[in-house]
Amino acid sequence: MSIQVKTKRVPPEAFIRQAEASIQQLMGNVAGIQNVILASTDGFELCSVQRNDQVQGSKLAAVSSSILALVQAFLGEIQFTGCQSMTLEAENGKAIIAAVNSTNHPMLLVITTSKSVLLGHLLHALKACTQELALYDQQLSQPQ
Amino acid sequence: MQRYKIVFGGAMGAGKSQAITSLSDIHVLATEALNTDEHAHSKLLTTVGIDYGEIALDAETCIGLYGTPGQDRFSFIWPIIGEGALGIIILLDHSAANPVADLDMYINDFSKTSTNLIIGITHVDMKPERPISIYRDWLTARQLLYPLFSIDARVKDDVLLLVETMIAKLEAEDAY
Repeated sequence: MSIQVKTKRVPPEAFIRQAEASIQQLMGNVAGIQNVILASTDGFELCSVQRNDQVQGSKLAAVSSSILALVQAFLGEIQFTGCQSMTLEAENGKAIIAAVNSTNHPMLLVITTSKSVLLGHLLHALKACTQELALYDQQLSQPQ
Repeated sequence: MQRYKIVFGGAMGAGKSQAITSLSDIHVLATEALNTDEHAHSKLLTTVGIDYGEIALDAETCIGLYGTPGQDRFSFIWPIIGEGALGIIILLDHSAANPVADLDMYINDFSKTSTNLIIGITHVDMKPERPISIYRDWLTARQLLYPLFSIDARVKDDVLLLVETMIAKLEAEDAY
């Protein structure tokens, strides 16, 4: 007899609390981050920490999930694999969309920053953050 | 070769991606993600960007088939994808909780992008006690004359019927 272990499609509350703490830490470590939103890959806001209340997290979650999926599809067409993040540079700031490659609950982080943010520092800290989130999700997701 | 564009819109789980897959001559480009909203639909994956397929109607005519995400949180992308389309095929899931409310929402939204709308009703066999006439009654009450068919999105000829109706409607309008 085979047993199929499934996890719920939405990450547990314990993970969300841990994710908020990780996001706060990221924002404390890197100067210039304005907003961070954690979203499911199908476009739902899971949690966010915002210093700029002009951003509508739910809308940004939906748009960002579309963008990430479109870019991953584009890269697939040209046989590029493993798209981890994309950086968008505007006149007055930067936006980064990064995949959180959790097997149980694939997610993404959306980060908006000031123009003066140190990009290398941010990308390094962001990579550590996404890896940490994927690990937490693996540890905290209970079988269904 | 002349290239045209047709958009598939409508409810989550109505079969938009399946319709494009059924019709396309090429491998369909998909942008699917894990569906975490099981209240809305139980399916595992859902489109969050676009689907893209192609069908050659004849040696001189190729139609790009564009699929949209159904959930209204993705409504920002509907007019972007709908830009420049010959028309929009709206698919509705007959077994959904309130498909007439879905019809209302998608007609209201997509009619801002295109006047050439065709309506396909899917999953009719899953709710046989519900009459198909509810959609025509709703359209008639609003003096809307959009063509309406019940289809199986898995059947190529059914989906082709929607596309051919759209083209015939355009040709008829051009003739007048």
